[in-house]
Amino acid sequence: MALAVEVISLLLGMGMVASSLSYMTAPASTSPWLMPLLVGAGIAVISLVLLASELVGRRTAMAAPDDIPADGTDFSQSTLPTVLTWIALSSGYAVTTPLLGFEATTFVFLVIALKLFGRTSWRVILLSAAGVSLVLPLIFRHLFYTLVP
Amino acid sequence: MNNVLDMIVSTAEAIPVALAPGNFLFGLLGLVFGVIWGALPALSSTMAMALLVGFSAGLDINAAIIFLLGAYSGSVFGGSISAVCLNIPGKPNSACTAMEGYPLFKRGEGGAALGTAIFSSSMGNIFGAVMLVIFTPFVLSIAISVGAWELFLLGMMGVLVSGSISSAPPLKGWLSGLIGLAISMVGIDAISGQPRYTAGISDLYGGINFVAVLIGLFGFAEIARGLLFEKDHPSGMLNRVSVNWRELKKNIGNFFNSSVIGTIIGIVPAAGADIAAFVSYTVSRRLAKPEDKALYGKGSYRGIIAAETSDNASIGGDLLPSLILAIPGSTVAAAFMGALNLQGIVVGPTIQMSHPGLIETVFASLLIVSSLLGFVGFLLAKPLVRLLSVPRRVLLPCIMPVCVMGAFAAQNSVFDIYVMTISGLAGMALVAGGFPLAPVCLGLILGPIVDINFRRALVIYKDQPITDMLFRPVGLILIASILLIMIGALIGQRRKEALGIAD
Repeated sequence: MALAVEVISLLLGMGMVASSLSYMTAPASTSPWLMPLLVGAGIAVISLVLLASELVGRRTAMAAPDDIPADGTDFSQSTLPTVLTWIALSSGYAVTTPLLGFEATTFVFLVIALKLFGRTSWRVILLSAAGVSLVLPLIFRHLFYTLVP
Repeated sequence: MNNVLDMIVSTAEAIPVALAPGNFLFGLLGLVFGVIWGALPALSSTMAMALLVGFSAGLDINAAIIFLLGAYSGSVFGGSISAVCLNIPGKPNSACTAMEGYPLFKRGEGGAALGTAIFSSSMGNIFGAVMLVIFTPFVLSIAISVGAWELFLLGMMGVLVSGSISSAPPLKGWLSGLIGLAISMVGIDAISGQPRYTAGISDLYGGINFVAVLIGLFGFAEIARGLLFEKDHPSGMLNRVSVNWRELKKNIGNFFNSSVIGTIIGIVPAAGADIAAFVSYTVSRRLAKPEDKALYGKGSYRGIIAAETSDNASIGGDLLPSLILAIPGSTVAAAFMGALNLQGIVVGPTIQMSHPGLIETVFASLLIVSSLLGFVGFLLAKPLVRLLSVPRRVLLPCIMPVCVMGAFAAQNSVFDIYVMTISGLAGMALVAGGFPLAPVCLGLILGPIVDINFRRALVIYKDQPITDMLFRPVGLILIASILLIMIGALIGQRRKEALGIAD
C-alpha cells in the first residue's frame, strides 16, 4: 500500500506543478499558483525519494514485507475481504444517508455491521441499532440544535 | 506586569459567564463525554473533538467554547482509566500511566493509582490554564510585531514538526503534511479571487471543509482500524478510588517540573499531550532518587504523577499559539480552532481587537472545566471500568452514524458527508502505507496561513533585497529551528535504522 500511496502522491505533485505552471501568468508574489507550485514540487520530490528507496529496499531485502506500516496496521494482506466489506458497507451507508434519511439508513447499516463484525446476539443487534438510530437524532436535534441528514 | 494583572482581572470577570447555568451544564456535559470517550480504547481525543466541532456549530459561542474545552480536558485524562485498569493506554499520552498504573492495579492498588492520576490531571489542567492567563499578554505583545514572513515560517514549522515527531519516518510525515497543505489550496483564493482545483464544482468554491476531513481521517479511518485490527481486553475489578496523599506530598517538586514541561511542550507547534507525558515521565525518572527509580516499570506513583500532570498541563500551552498566532499546538487544538471558525471567529494576533473578551472567556472556561475534572473523574472512574467491557466490535460501528451526522452538522451540507467518506478512505490508505494522519490535519488548517502570509511577505519585500526578508531576527531563529528539527528527525531515523528499531 505504501507504494500505491507514493505513486498517487507523485502523480498529485506532478499534476499540481503542471497546472500551476500553465496558470501562472501574474507575478509570482501575487499569483495564486505560487504556493500550489511549491507544495506540488515538494510532494513530487518526497514521493520520488520514498518511491526510489522503496524499490531499492525491495530489491535488496528480498523477503522483507513491503506493506506492513509503522503502526502495524495492515489493511491489505490476509484481511482484505473483511476490509473491503467494511469499506463497502461504511461508504455505502455514508452515501445513501442523504438520499434515504438518517434513521432508516442508520438502522439498516447497524444491523448489517453488527451482524457481520459485532458477532453478537440478535437482541443486542436490534436494540443497539434501534437505540442509536432513534436516540442520536433526538439528542442532536434538541440538545445541539443541529439538523439531521 | 500591568498587562498580566489586567488579564487576570478580566479572566476573573469572565468566570460568571462560564458559570452561567447553560454554559456550566455544557461544560459538565463536555467533560463527561470527554472522560467516557477518552477511557474507551481506540477512540482518540482528536476524534472526539472532530465529531463535536460540527455539533457545537449550533450552540451559543460561550457554550460551544466550554463544551469543547470540557471534552478536550476530559478526553486527555480519560485514557488513564483504561491505562490503569486494562494496561491499554486509551490515548498515546497515557502509555506511561499504563506502564506504572497497571502493575499497581495488579497489586490491588488500582483505586489509589487512578485517584492519584485523576488528581494530578486536574491539577495539571489548572496549572496549564493559569500559565495560559499569565503568558498570553506577553505573547500578544510579541504577536502584534510578528510579520507575514514569520507567520509563514511558523505555519511551515507546525507542518514540518508534526511530520518529524510522528512515529513514521520523517519523509512520510512531511509528505503527509504537504498533502494537507495541498488539500487546503482547493477553493477560491483569498487574495486574487481565482478558483483553484475546484473542477467547476460549486461546493468546492468555499474550500474543502476542514471538519469533514478531520472526521474522515480521525473518525472513519480510525473506526476501521479499531474494528478490524485491534483486540478487546478483559477488564478487572477496581477497588475504592482514592488519592495517595503521601506520594503526592513526596512529589510536589515532580508535580511542578512536570507542569512546566507540559505547558512549554504544549506551546511548541504540533507537539501536544503525548510528547509532554513522555518527556516529563523520562525527566522524573532521571531526577528520581535510586529507591524511587527502582520502582519505575513496577508501579511508580511518581511516574503516574509526572505523566498525568504534564499531559493535562499541555492543554493550556497548546491553546496559546492556537489563539494568539493561529498556529495550532496539536490536532485537537486545530479542531478547536475549526470550531471557533464555524462561529465566525478568526483567531490570530488581532483577536483581542476583533473579538474583545473572547480569550478571557476561553481562559475562564478552561479554569472551570479544570476544576471540575477531578470531581467528574472520581465520579465516573468506577462505572467506566464496567463500560470498558463493552466489546469494541459492537461499540465502533455505533460511532459511524455520529461521524455522518458530525460531518453534515458543521455546515448542514450533504457534500461534506461525501468529503468525509473520501477523506476516510484516503486516511485508511495512508495508515496502511505507514503515513501519519496528524500532519495532514495540521497542513490543512495551516495551509491558508502559510499561503497568504508567504505571498504577503513577497509583496512587502518586492523592492528590497531578498536578504532583508531572510535575515529578520525572529525569522532567522525560526528557519534555524525548522532546519534543526528536520535534520534531527533524519538523523534519528538513520540511527533507528542502524539499530534495527521498528518505526
